[in-house]
Amino acid sequence: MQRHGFTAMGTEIELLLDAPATAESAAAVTAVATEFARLEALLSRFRADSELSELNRRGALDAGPELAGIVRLALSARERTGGRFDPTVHDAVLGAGYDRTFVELLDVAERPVVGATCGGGVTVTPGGRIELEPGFRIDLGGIAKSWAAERTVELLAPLGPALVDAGGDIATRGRAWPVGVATAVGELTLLVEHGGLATSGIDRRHWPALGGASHHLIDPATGRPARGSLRTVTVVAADAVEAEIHAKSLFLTGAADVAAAEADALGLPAVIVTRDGHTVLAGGISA
Amino acid sequence: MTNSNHTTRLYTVAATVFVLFVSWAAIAAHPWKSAATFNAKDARLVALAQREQLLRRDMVLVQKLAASAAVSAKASSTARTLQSRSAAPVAATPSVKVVTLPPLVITRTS
Repeated sequence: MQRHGFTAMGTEIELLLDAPATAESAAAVTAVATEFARLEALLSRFRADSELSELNRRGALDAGPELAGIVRLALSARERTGGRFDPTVHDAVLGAGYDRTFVELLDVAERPVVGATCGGGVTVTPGGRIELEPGFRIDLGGIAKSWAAERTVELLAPLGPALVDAGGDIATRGRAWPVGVATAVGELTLLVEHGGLATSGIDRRHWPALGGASHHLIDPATGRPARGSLRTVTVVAADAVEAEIHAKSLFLTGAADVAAAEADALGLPAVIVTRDGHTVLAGGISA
Repeated sequence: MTNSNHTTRLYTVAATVFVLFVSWAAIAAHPWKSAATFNAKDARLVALAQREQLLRRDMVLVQKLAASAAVSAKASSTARTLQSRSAAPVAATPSVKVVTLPPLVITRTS
């Protein structure tokens, strides 16, 4: 089993490839790292020269296929989740204090959380022109990572069973993969036969703020960091992008019983961990 | 012929024209028709009114049918949406089991 790691998109990327180490596999791993770097250059809101930053500055852009495609996915997700997954949370994320990379945030003095309106209008033409409603900007954080994981695992899959973990957004191919999930009392191992897995939560990307801790999961209904009784939600779905969308959407339900009922209704295996130390399995996960 | 004769003839002609005009006006007014006959509606107007009523009734029926079709279409659309929301993940989602194997990777919050 080959294991490789590097940093991209503000997180650690881990690659697993169940194949002998050869020149071909080394080239594939390099290709994955190169692709992550290319996508980060297009999609990062922290890079002023990215295509996404240019869109946010100008409010309209004839975008390339990657940006246009991901924005379409995000808009579709917003519709399917009743607005809980929303790409127009950019200003609310900044208002929560997430205005620099997470590593840089740790050295910043506490600031107040400022809410912002979400649910802005976004249109994408068939030709790839994206137009934003004035006053709204886009953040593609989670969905961009999961999309990159799905895209790059395809580069490894021809060589053997493969897994790409983009900071918790996991795309798999070729075999059943045992994936560890942190729970309230330890760790649970899920055997994921194929598809993707993602975890949304506030256990990692949070920082001190005036009036209490702040975090990156914005509730579009309030334009502020989500409140509720949940700590993390892990979802397994057909691919990493779907898993990311539903993990965030279930987290924003704010309550374990509601999230579990929704996971059951959607048939999505989910591990729900509450702030007070309970773990709920839902969506047909069998022990 | 004197001037007096000319004047008399002119007055006579004018009086004749006046009498003829008054007679035509009196005849055109149909004073012999009864008030009921005079107020009776033209058959064409009656037919036109009936036609208008039929069209109004058809319009109401068409509006009801259109509203019913819109409700059906919306219901079908909602059903399709719900089906795509619920059925698609079920069909495509892999089965997941809790196992005791050591994990090869540990998911973190993204």
